[in-house]
Amino acid sequence: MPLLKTPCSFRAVYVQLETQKDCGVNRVKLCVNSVTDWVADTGKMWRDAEQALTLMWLLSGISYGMCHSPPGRPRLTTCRSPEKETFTCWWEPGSTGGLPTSYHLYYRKESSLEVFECPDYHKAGNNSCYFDKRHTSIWIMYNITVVASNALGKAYSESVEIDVMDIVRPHPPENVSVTFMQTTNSPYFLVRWRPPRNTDTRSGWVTIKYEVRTKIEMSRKEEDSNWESYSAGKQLEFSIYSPQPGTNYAVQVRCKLDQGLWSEWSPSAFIQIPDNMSDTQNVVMITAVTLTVVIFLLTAGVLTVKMKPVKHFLLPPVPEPKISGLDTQLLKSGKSEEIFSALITPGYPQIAQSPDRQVECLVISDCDEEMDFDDKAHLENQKIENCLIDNAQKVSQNSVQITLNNSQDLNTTLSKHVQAGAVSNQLSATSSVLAEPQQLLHLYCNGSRVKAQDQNTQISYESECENVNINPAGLTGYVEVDKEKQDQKPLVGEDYSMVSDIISGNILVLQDSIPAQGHKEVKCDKTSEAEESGGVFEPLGYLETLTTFSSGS
Amino acid sequence: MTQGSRLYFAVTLMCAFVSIHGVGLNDLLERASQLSDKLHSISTSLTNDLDSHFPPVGRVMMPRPSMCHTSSLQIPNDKDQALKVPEDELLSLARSLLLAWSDPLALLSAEASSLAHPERNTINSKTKELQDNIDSLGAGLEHVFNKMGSSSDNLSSLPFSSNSLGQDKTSRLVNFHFLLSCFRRDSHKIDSFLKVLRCRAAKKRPEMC
Repeated sequence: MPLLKTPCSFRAVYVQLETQKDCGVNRVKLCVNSVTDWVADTGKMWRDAEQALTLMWLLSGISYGMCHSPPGRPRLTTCRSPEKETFTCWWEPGSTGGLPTSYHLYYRKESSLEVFECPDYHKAGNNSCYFDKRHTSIWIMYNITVVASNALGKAYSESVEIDVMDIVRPHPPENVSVTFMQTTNSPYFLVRWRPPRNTDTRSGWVTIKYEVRTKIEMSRKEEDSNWESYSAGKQLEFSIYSPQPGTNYAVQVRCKLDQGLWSEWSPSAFIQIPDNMSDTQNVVMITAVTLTVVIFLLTAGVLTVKMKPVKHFLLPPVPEPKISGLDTQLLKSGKSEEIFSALITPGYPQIAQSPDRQVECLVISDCDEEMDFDDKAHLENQKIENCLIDNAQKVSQNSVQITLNNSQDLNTTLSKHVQAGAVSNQLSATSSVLAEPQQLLHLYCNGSRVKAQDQNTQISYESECENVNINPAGLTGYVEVDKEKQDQKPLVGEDYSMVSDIISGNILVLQDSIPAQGHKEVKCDKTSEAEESGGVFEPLGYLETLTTFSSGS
Repeated sequence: MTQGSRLYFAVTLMCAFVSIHGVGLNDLLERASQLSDKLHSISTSLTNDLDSHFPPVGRVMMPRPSMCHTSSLQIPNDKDQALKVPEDELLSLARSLLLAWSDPLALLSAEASSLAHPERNTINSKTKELQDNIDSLGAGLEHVFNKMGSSSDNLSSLPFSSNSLGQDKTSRLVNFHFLLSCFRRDSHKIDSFLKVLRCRAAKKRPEMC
C-alpha cells in the first residue's frame, strides 16, 4: 500500500467510493479535506468497503495520535523581588502537545526535603507564581521546578536555585515631575519623584538609591542626543543647572535597593526651556569680560610706560655700597680710561701749578716698539721713545714728555732724561691728547716705591725706581697733569699743595692701549734727595704724574 | 566656683554628654553601614570574577550552602522577624558573623595568590581588600557596642576548622568559590542588620534610612 500521509490537523475524513469501469478496477478514494490519496485497489466492492472502513479507522487513529503528545518542557525565565519581602517567578511554557496542559510550580527550601506548591498562581498574571510575605524567606536557597502536565504525560523544567537577596529589583519611581526654576543668575530645572510603590523606606530594611538621566529632545533631527546620567543618592529631588535655552528636555528616573539590580526607567517627563532667559546673562557676561580686558590692557600699558618708577615703587632697589669716585655705570660700560679718570681725577691731590714754575716735561720715547695707534695719527710725528736713564742719550726729539709739577727735585733727576724745552709746545700738543685720553697705564709711586702697574705684564718697580718695567704704550703724548683736574678735590681729602717733603710720589702713568709688546726697563736714578720717586717714565703715552711736593720746592 | 567657671563646666559636660551619646552613635552606625555595603559589593564582584572562568564540573562539585560554617547561627529570615529583634541582639548577630569570618578570610587570602584561575591577581587584591575592611568593620562595631552600653556581650562562636582548601587545584578552586559564596551571603546579612540598626538609632532623622 502506498504510504499515507495525513496532516495531523485535519480531522474530517471523507471516504468516497468510486467505481471506475475501466479495466474493472475499483478504487477507494480517501479524501482528507482537499487531499486525495488513492488507497487501495480492491477487487470486490463489499470487501473493499470493509477494508476501506478499517483503513479509515486506522488512519484516523494514527493521525489522532500524531497530533497529541505530552507537553514540552517549560522553562523558568525570571524571578524578581521588588521590595525584599515578596517575590514572583515567571516561566515560559513549552509545547502543549495539542492537549490542555496545566502548569504547577513546586519548590523546596534549602535545608528541608519538603516540597511545597506555589501559593498564588494568579496575582502576577499568566505563567507566574507569586510568593507572598509569609512564604518568602531571605538568605535561604529555593529550589524551584515547574511541571507541565496534560493527558498524555508530564514535563519537568530545569530546576532553578535562587536566593531572594540576588533577585531584588524594585519598581521604577513614580510621579516624576519637572519644573523650570528661573532665577536671575543660575536657572535650573527641578526633578521630583516619589519612591516606588510598596517599598518600605522607613524601617531601614531597604535603602533606595536613585539615578536621574536627561536628554535633549530634538524632533527635527533624526538622531537623538545621548542621555546624561546623574546619581541622586537617597533624595527625592534633583536640580539640573544651566539647561540650554529653547530646548525640550526629557527626564527619567530609576532606582535600586542597596546592592541590587536597577529598576526600569520611569516614563519620561518633558520640559520646555524658554528662550529668553539668557539675554541678561549674556549681557552681563560680555560686559564683565570687556571690562576685564580693558583693565588688563590699561595695566599693561601703564606698566610698560612707567616700568622703572613702578618697579622702584614695588621693589625698591637695595642700596649698593658706593665708593666715592667710582661709578658703577662706568665700570659696566667697560671703558677703562673713563673709569680711571673718574677714579683718579676727582680726588687726586691737587697740584697747584704756579705759573712761574718750570714745568719740565720728561720725554720718553719708545725706541724699539712699534706703535699702533690708529687714532693717534697726529702724534705719529712724535715718536715716543722710551728713553730713560739708559737711553738718555737716545732721547730724541720725539719723546714723550713727562711734565712734572714742582719738579725741581725731579728736575735734577730727570734732567738726564728729560728733554727740557718744548715743554710748552708739547704741553699744548698734549693737551689735545689730554682731550682724548685713551687707555691709561697707571703708574703709582707710593711712598718710596714707584709702582707701575701694567695690565698685561707685571710691572712693578721698586722704590727708587730701580726696576721699572714699563710697558710702552705706544702712545704719543705727554704726561701731564691735567689742569682741569687740579681744581678737583684731593683724592684722599688731603691738601697736597703744602707738602713739606717729598716722601713719596704718586705717579700715574696713563696709557692708551697696551700692546703686549714688551716693556722697557727703566731705571730710575736715585736722586740725592732720595726717596724720591721720581721717575717715571713712561713710556709713551700719556703720563700723568702726581707727585708729592715738598713745600719747600 | 564663680559664675563663669560654673557655666564653663556645665557647657563642657553637656558637650561631652552629647558627643558620647547621641551624635556619636549615629555617625558610627553610618560609617559601619558604609563599610558593610562596601564589603558586600567587593564580595559580589569577586564572585563574578571567579564565575568568569569557572569549570562546569565545579558547579556540580560545589557543596551545598547549608554547609557554610555559619549556617548554625539563628538569624531572622524576613523583614518582620528582623524588625522584631532587639537592637543589641541584632548587633551581636552582626558581630558574631563578622568574627566568624576573620580566620576563613585569612585562609582565602593566603590561597588567592596560588589559585588556578586566570584572574588570579585581581582576586588576590580584592581578597586583601576584604580582609582590611573586615578588620575596620570589626573595630567599628566594637565602638558601637561600647556606645550602646549593652549589659552582656553574647557573641556566638562559629568556629572554622579547616586550614586548607584542598589537595588538588580543582578542589581548591571549588572550595574557594564556595567559601566566597558563603561570605557573600553573610556580608549581606551583616549589611541588612546594620542598616536596620542605623535607621532605628536615627529616629529624628528619617533621611538616614
